[in-house]
Amino acid sequence: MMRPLHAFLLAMTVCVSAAQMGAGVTGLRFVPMADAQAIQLDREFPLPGGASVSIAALRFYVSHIALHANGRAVWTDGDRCHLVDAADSSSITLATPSGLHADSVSFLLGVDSLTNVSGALGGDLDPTKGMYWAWNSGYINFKLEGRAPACAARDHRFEFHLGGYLPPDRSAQQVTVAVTGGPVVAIALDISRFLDAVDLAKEYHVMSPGPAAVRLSRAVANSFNGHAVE
Amino acid sequence: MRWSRVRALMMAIGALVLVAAQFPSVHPVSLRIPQGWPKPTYALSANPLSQKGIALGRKLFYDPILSADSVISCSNCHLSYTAFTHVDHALSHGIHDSIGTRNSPALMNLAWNKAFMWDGAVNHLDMQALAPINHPGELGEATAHVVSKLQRSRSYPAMFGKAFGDSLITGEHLLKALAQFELALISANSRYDRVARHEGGEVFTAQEENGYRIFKTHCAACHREPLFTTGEFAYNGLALDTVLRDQGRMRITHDVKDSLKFKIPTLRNIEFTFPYMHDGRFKHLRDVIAHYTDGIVHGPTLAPELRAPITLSKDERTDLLAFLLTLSDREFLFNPNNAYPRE
Repeated sequence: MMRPLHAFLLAMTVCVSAAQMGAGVTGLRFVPMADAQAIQLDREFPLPGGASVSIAALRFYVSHIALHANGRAVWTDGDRCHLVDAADSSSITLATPSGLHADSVSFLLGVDSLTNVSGALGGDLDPTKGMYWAWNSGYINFKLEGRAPACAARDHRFEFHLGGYLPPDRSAQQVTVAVTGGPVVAIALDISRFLDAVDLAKEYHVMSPGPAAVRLSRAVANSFNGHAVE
Repeated sequence: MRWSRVRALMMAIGALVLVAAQFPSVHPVSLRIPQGWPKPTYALSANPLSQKGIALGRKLFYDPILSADSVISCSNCHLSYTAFTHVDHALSHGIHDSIGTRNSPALMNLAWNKAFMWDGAVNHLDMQALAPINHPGELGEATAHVVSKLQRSRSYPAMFGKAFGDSLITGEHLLKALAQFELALISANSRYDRVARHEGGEVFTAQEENGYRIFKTHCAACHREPLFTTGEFAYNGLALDTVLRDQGRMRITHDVKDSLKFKIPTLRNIEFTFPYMHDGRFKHLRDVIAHYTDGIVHGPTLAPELRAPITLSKDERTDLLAFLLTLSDREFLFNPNNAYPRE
């Protein structure tokens, strides 16, 4: 299995050279990153502010993915949900019809509300994936667990399980990122940007739907970018 | 064979009517919708019922493999002979002698349910089983671990293969199988139902008839026929238990307007489902009636139907009780197809 870092570097190399050649898009890749590095689980790394963290688990759903060119959708993946898992590099690549030119990618960070009320589902949405709340129906859209010396919790462990599909605490976020050429478009989730937005000394356990989950989901949505490949 | 034996045998086939088996290996069955009932809320097209699926769900329902210590199954708190509730237990029990915080509900006519659990925490029948399986005070398991135990078992892979065409066993199919068995638990053959259908000249006694009149005046707004519930949430004036401090629906919605509201339960088979209320505080139906006549605590979220006092004479209470006993469906309660599967 290709390590995430290698996969990312490969994607990056291919993207840059393809952009130079002007080839179209052939695939999409979601890359969990920390600053400019691909994430390695359980490995400590510094945040821009000087604090250090390690990530034990990072998983999130993306759905309703679409490619756009000049403000117009040129390809859509429909309502399919994909689970991106930092522990599984094969979980992050999606094939698109080849030869499309796109300047932005839009997607929903999370699972839409209709899917949340549709009963038992399979594949990436199977409840054994650990992304479904047993005590209060609904998918966990985004899960981040790790350790940070600054975190005031027991063993310095923080846990963010963000979800909730009912108003007013609907947490799924619409995200649009500008991207360059291809053939594989890399969309980076910069987890250090998210962690910089959270005060781990004060906020380290958010595991139910509510205003905090919505606020933190917005912070995650703001941590995506397609520029990392430039 | 006597007529009653024939009838019992027919009931043994279940509350389901078999339809022409288009796929002989799966044996699809269709949910029998009792005469005059609304359309089910459960989307059967997403989980088509089959004999194999129901049988698999039934085996799972009675199998302690679903619990962490392999001692407790769903049926510990949901006994078929008492309309699938834990009779005589106020609060549910779990592994390692743990006691929960709520009274296990009776299970029947679940295809018509809009929400599950006393506070509506669960939005779909398929997903309900996740709650007790993963609760540390109930079955104390993890869904993924249950699936891996099933995958390693001798009998389950073949049964899943026959029911779903996939012997690998997934969380989705585990939940769908349990749902199929639960969907098959239909209670619609009480004396009340036979009177309503004018079946075999069945009529109420004068006492039951008067009780039915009282029921329609004071109870039916929330316990609406034919399901004997609207499926909504209401605060019925119970004093807050100062130990449990259970706020009910508000725990889920975070809305003060939902404070102390719980799901309105069906009254079907109520003779057998004691103790009553979300915390099992009343042992006898007489206590329940006394609560509605004399025990209502007036709070801001109290159901509008209960704001004006309900006054019933001693005879009226007895008549109401007589009517409630007509909701017992012995064919459902003692249907061997719903009981522990003896192979």
